[in-house]
Amino acid sequence: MKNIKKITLDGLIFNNPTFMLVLGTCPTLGLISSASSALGMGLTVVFILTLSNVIISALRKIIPNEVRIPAYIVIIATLVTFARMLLEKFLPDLYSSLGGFLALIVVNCIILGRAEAFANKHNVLESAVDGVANGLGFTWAITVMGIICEFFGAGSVFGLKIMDFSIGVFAKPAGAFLVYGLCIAIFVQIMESVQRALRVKKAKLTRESLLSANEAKEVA
Amino acid sequence: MATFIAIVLAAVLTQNFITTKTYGICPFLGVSKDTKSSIGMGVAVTLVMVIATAVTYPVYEFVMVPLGIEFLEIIFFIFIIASLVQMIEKVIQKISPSLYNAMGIYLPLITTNCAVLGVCELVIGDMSAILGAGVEMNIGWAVLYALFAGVGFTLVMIIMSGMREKISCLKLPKAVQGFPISMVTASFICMAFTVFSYIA
Amino acid sequence: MSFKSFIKSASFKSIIVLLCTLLISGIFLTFANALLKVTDQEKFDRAISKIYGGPVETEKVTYDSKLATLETANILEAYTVKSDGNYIVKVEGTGGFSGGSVTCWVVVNVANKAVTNVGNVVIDSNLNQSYIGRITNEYLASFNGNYNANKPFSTENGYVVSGASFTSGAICNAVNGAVTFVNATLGGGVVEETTPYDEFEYIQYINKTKTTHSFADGLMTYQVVTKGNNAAGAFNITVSVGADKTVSAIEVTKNGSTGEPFTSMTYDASNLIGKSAEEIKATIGNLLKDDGKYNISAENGSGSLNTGATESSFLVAYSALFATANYDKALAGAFAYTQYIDAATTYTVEGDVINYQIVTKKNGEADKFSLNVTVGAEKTITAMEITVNGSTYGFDANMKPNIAASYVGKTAAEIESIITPYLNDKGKYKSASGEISTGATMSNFLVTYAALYATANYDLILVVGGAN
Repeated sequence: MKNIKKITLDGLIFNNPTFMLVLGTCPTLGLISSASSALGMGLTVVFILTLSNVIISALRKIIPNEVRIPAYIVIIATLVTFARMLLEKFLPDLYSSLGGFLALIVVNCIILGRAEAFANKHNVLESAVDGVANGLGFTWAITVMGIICEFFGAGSVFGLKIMDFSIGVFAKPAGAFLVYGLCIAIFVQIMESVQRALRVKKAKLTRESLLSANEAKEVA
Repeated sequence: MATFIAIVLAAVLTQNFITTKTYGICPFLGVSKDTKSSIGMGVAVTLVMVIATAVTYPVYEFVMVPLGIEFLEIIFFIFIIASLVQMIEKVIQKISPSLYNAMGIYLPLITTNCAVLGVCELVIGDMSAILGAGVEMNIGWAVLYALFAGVGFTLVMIIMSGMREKISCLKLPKAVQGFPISMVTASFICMAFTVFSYIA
Repeated sequence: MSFKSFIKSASFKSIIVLLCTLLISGIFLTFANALLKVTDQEKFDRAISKIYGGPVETEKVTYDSKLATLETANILEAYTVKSDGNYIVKVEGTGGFSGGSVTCWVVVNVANKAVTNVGNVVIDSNLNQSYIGRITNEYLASFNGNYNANKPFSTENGYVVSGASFTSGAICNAVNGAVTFVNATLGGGVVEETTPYDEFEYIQYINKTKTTHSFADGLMTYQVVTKGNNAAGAFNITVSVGADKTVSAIEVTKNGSTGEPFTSMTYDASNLIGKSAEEIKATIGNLLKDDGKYNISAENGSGSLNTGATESSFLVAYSALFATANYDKALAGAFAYTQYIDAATTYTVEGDVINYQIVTKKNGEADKFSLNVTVGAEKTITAMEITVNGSTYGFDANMKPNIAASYVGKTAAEIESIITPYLNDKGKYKSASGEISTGATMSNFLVTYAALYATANYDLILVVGGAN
């Protein structure tokens, strides 16, 4: 259980694929001009990543090491094609807003990265959790940036117009790069201070336990 | 002739893969630290884009469409691209070790690259906005587009490497070093490139 | 390596695994594709539903291509909604910026076999409309629900986006075209064909669609096909009228009388030779009522037409009256290349030299031009100058340099070859590339058109003579 908690937190925050590992940058930069397409892309990635992790983890003993990369790619490509069919049939608006980036999920570093680094070493349940966690980590990161870019670039949030004032640059890749870069800086800063606080807390606890152990020794 | 110019302008300037379409960002951020490796990466990407398009476009048009198996394109394409890259790497290693040292080492990195798969997907789709009305897509235009898309990619990589070399001399706060400042720099390059949209 | 050890080796296993993966993927996806494929029909339904504003099932309408080509619009596709009979029409409205057009989908609401209103208007595509970005959704929504049968949509009554007036005009044309088309389809698929004779006098008994006329050797010759007159059937009569507006020749080529003895009792047409319209009218006398209809109660009178086959004889004389009375109108119709020439145009004839003071009509953004053109005995232009330049927005600077002077010495055939690429099948301006494509092609077009009008009608005017 502790393992699951660690996996989840890692995927969502501490090893956030978008802000900490800076993976999967192409769809990120391409789609954050609109919050709804960002969210849509994120959820699609959650779907594909989870399934891919589960399948690869289930097959990890069968697939020989030499062909693991091609095999993973075929599995991921199949899932992406399947997701594309589902979207075109049932969610055509999302399908058209994702555009070319839907097909490019197959070369998204996040999915292949998690397959290589995690799914082929852990069991199915843990891989599934890892997939959901990383996927959601990607989703919340890209959606937050999407909301920022859409708000400043078009004065709306998820399509609801809130204000008339808009700065056009945020609707373009230039603005996307800016927001992404600044978000990374901010997030990394926050993470560092959180880590530092945690370390201090840990050191304090260790010191206290050592001291109390010493005291106990002295008393004894 | 008009189509030729339209394709060149679109691929290099107005629909640049990095500044407009945001494809190929991973090598862009990862390998643009100095000009030499930027050029190497750019040439490698261009080469793979051209050869990949030259192979995948005919396979799609003359094998997959007649057979009605277009839905398998992602699998086919990625397979073709992965195999091609392996082959190209071996070939370059054999015929020119110096060339291999200059750019061959980047080849495995661009197997799973948005730029290569992206251009293959683009040319089989609707290119009428770039080609203009009444011009049919054929393998010639497709390969041409791939070539100049690669040129545009290389161009932006070189610009970026120049800027990053300058930035590496600056004293920046720790929070901003690395990715953040590269992103901001890239953002300025994108802004500069939007000037070209007035050509269209 | 022996076969057995090969099977056990890693590379064999790798290949097998890879092939299996591919096979399973392929089968799975083929399955999924069969289940989830979005067919073309479904894609079309989605697009149409988006235009209509709700999910609908449609049926394609087949229609006569004659109905599809209107004055300022072309119908490309038409569908009826199965549930309520409304029409969804894909229509191209012409008259846009730079001679281009806008293609729209227009929903036309229908009830009781009549158009009740206009619904959604969605732009599909456009040709050369650089300012299409200025057309807002609010503008397109303004058509919805505001149909007025007596007042077609027009940029002059408020349906215009400032800065994109030509594009707005093309959209209005498209919407009006869709409504006209639906009206015509509902009314039985017949669109009143316009004929050259619509404005002529004495057309009550003339079959306007079958009658033709032509001008040659100084004579206006009509191949008249009449309508029936009570018991008399349709006659075919050839009438020639000279410049003095009297009948110079007349022949009954098909006698429409209902058999003997009436066919031999028909009035002898040669009696009409040399007569003018007034004289023929006097001959007809009271067989023609003031309202233009045949006076059956006068049949037993004693005029020269009361031959015992009076109804037939009437038709013969009526044809001659039609031919002579409309000589001037027919002459005007015999002029070539008049579409862009304004009625204010005048000319004077001195010997075999004609001096024109031409006023053109507008062409898109180019306003009326006034030109003085002189055509000499060799049927070429001897002098030409622009007196009023109709270019707008400073486009006159982009006109072809010395364009008027460039036509001096040219014949009608030479000028025609320059302008033909810019004329569509209805003789109207269309965008093209050619000699007069500069940044002010529409202005160049008007100047060239004036030159062509002057040279092409030289013979006709000389024969007709005089000034107008």
